[in-house]
Amino acid sequence: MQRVLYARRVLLSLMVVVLFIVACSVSLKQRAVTTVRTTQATLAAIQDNERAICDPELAKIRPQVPITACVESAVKAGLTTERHQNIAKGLAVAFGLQVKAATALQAWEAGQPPPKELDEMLSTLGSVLKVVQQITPPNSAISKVAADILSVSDQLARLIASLKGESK
Amino acid sequence: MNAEQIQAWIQAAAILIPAGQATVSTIFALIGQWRGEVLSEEEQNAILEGIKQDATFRQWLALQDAGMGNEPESPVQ
Repeated sequence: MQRVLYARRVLLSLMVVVLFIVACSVSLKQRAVTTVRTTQATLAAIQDNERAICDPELAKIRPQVPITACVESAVKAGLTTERHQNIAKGLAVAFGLQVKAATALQAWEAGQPPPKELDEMLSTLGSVLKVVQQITPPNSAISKVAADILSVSDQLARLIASLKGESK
Repeated sequence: MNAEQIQAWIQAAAILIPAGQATVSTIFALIGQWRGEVLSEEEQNAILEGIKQDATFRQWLALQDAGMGNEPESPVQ
């Protein structure tokens, strides 16, 4: 488990490095699009991992189906149905913000400052991930993943802050 | 931590390793952009449309998981 967590941390760090490299070489809108796309990929990974621990068999079904209760092995590992539902509530908020940010970016016209929805999405996402951390079992794989994602989102927020004042 | 908990976390690790491989794919996609690939306005908007569709579906799924879903029908992913 330690090796898995270490590998995940390294991969997430690499993603941040790549993001900063991308930020230096492409347009402002493309940087923002890349940021929202990366955030979507990380949120999807959190949802898929958490659901796969909650009920490994149901999580394999495609297209995906709802999982409303966690199996015994998950409960023994500390992921109860109540925790699963609370994490799902947080993720629902986060995905809603992603839709809002993507819509705002599509409407972003040349010469305009970056859409405020992008800032809102990143700051609220940070809050959502903090809540997810609080409701996941302490020292578990899920809470460590959430901590890593929180670190990434903080750095993404700094990237967005650095974009302010630039034109498209 | 008892034997059952250890077994549960070994199962969790088996799930997380493929997820790590998916992360590597994302990194390579981003490196593709770094290597001078400048996306057109249409390409950027197409990516954003894909994000909106995926996020809409995942929001619906999360609401169902949370027991808060009002829409029984899945939106098109």
